[in-house]
Amino acid sequence: MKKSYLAVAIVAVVLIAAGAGAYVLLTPQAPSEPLKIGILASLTGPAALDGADLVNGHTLAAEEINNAGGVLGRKIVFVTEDAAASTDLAVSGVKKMIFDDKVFAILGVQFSGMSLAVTPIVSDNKVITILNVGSNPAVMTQVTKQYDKFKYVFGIDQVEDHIAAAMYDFMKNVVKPKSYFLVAEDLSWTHAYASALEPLMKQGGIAVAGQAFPAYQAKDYSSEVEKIKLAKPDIIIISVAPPVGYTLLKQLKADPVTSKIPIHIEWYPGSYFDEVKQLETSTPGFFNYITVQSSWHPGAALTSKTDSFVQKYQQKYSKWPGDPAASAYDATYALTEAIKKAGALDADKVVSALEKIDVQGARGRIVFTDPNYVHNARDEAGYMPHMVVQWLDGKPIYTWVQGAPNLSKGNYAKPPT
Amino acid sequence: MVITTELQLVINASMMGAVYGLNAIGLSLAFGTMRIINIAHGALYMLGGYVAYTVLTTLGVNIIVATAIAMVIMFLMGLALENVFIERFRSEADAVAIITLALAILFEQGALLVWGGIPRGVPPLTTAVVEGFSLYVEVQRFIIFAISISLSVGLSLFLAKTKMGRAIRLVTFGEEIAKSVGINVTRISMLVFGLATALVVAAGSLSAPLSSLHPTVGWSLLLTAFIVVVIGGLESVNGTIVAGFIYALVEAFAGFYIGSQWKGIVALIMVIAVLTLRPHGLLGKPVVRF
Repeated sequence: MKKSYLAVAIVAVVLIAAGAGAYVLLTPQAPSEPLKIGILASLTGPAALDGADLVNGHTLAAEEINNAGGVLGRKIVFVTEDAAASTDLAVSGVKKMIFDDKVFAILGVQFSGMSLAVTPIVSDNKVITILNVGSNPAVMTQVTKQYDKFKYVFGIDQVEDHIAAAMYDFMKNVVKPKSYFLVAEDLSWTHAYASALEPLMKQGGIAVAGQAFPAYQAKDYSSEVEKIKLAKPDIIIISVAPPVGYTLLKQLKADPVTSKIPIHIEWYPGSYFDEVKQLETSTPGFFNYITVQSSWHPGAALTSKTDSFVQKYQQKYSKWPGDPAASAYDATYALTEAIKKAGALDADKVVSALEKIDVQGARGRIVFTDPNYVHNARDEAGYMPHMVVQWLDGKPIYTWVQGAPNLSKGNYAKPPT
Repeated sequence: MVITTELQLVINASMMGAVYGLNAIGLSLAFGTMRIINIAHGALYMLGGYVAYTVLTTLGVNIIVATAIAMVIMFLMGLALENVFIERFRSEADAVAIITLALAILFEQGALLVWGGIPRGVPPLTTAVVEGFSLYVEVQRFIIFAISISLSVGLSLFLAKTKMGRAIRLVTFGEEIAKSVGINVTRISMLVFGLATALVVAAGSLSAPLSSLHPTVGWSLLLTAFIVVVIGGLESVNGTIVAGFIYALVEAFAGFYIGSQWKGIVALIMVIAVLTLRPHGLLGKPVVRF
């Protein structure tokens, strides 16, 4: 009797084991390990708005990619580190993502200074990094000069001398001022583009009436306003990012002299469409005649993807996508397309694939073959063009799109004097 | 023309200086009386702006009425904060610094959740400008200047002339001596923190139409407040008022004559110079504590 019990037990165990084995063998393979990608964004501190915008852009792209099956059968999982606009935190965050989280690639990075600090670390560890914001010439020329070391670094943002070239193009052909005064926050990227802009403008007969570089997050711009009054420029060019940029605008608009001078803004606009709407509610006409230059404005349908991206973003986050969101969205697609083309999570193979990639992004055609800055996405006509929006009664008018006059929806209007 | 420019700089910087003084005065008051460094000072500046904004948009009042209501609300909040978070650690300066840092982060994240990240524009009181002799004064700034000065001078008079003010001043000399004459130090500390909160809230909400509200606006104002308090004298309310003007004037003239990048550097050189020549600040006096 006891023997029969034992036999039954043995048979049962064997059957269970066999069943389990068969289950394992016959069920479809369990999902592979997720693909870990790091995001370095400033989620607190003065750049928190843009940081959130950036993470939203990556998240939206990753959701779409994951819903379509992922990358090489893997789902994208982001590891996010908050740099809080601090280079020190950026460095420690990048080290944590590389050594502790073992990410395959890093996206994000919001400041040029930060980019300069983190690119040697990612390069030494062969971690592909696509800089969403902060790809200034000093960063990107590293790749040209020391390709073998820095080949893992890519940029998907506007390069400062291209900003300058586009601005010159717009000024010379549309606004036609005789002189300009530049007020730009004291940051690496503004000095880079100011240096590039000056010779171009001079060559085109547009004099530099003055330049001022107040501290990042300054509170009072009285001295800059007085300098502008004495210099009497035909146009004021501002690169002081929101929200403090609005303090400068308010001071310029309050002064009886400077309020009559046209204003042209070049900044990395986060969700500034919503901000303009908010400011126009409190002070109607506040933004009238101001022109804003950027390589991203949600509204100019640069590619077939632009409108659908804007629509999905608005549905998900109930706000306009800013420049960081659009570039983050495109960077995520560019990286994943390259991984698919490489067919393996091999950094060198993915670098080669990224160098050959040609995809339609929300911001334009993404091609990492800038002739002057190896590995930077081409931000010029036909690729990611710069464009200018002029605001009238709270509405953006697409006044100028570099190399694509068909996308312009109105002419530049000179402010009344 | 240059003299006109200088005069215009003086006018504009003075307007700003009054706000800087009002912003810093609460920090000075809390440090002088309670010997605490309130890292949440800047966050309270920000929060005050948002509370005033909410009152303004909800009730449809102007920024001055909204500021008054926000001051009352935040005064009560200041009392509660002191009672719940600070009172038991008042003698431990490090603990208070950490607690107020945590509060600052909490307020910042709270503001982000409640009001969102998009900067809020507060409608101007008026866009009127008075012009004459090639100079101009923004009426709005002048009103803000006048209210800021009134509040700062009012506090100074309150401390000098009233029984409660004298009790507060006595606490600055030492808790034991204050207790020995029957002063309730716990109640004085609550009152001081409430007053300090109400004053920084006034600075935050009155400044709102000049700039824009956003959750991180407080940090740079905290740094400015520290500089102003150190220049004026850590425990001197009058010194803080004067230092607010000096700081704003130095910032404006350094920016104009030396260069915009130099504003902060010159301000810090000024701090070093003041500390070297007058270690207790311009109007501060060495205090013997009992």
